[in-house]
Amino acid sequence: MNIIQIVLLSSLGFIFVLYFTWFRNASYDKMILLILLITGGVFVINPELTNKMARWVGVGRGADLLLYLSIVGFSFLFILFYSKIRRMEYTLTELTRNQALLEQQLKETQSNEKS
Amino acid sequence: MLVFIVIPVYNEGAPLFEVISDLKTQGFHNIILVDDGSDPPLRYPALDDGIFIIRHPVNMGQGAALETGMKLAIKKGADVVVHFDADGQHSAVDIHQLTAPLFENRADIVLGSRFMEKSETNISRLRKILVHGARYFNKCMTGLLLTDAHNGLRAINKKAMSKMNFTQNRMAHATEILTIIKKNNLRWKEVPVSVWYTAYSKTKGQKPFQIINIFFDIVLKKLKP
Repeated sequence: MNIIQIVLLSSLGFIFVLYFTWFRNASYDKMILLILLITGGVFVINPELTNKMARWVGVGRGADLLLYLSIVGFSFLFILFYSKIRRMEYTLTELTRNQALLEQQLKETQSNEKS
Repeated sequence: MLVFIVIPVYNEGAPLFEVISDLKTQGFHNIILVDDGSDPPLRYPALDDGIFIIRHPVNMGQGAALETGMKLAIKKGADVVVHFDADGQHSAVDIHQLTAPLFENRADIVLGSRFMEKSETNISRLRKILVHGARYFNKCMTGLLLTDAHNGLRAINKKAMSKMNFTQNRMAHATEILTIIKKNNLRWKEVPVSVWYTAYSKTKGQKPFQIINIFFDIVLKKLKP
């Protein structure tokens, strides 16, 4: 086994442990990640497989095929994260607004009590 | 009819106090200052019964601040709310003709325009080109073609206020308002207003190329959360 294969397999193993112990996500998310990690592991152990797949789908080299798939994957992730950020921003706005309105009400109540 | 002026405020300086003084001179005494997370927090030296300061603990953007201001105005029993800028580029005199169609029940929302007959503005050529581009962009996104785009001076009645739930926190709320108008069949009208850009307002206000951010905010919003 090459050094790079050891590095890549260790990284995949680290991601596996990190994801499954730290993050609580939906089961289908876990399933997708598990499939990706296993596929990644298989490709690291047997790089020639990517070349065969690349030729089968009409791309010259395995590395090119992986690059194209990564671009699609990262674009998908961008949309996913953007959507999550929007949702969080919406929640934060609602919280901020409610707090502002409550504080305003409290301020007025206190000032009425004083006068 | 009870009119409230809503002014989003973010790290504003002395011109804000001139704006408030002008509004009072014109007879508008109910003013809501929405401090959108200013650092240091906004302090108004002469708070009276008509001036309310409501503060967002963090900066959320002009759209979010306007909605918070409107929510407070509704609680205070407002019949009409006027959106007004803090940087002194709007003229308090214009509020009379902006609110007139609402008082006469001829419209639910009245939008100020810099490009109608009798409008007065010292808008730069670059900004003018971008705004006219934005008008047609708004037309594509909302179906409404106005004479102006992203003019922050507008008056809204109670009916329209109840529909103003923005999902756009920042400047893109101006386009979202048009979507809300269209979706809820609100009666709208444009009136000529004067907008004077000063050295101060240019540093505080929307930069011409922020239109690109607005474009992305609107387009990406289509990826619904």
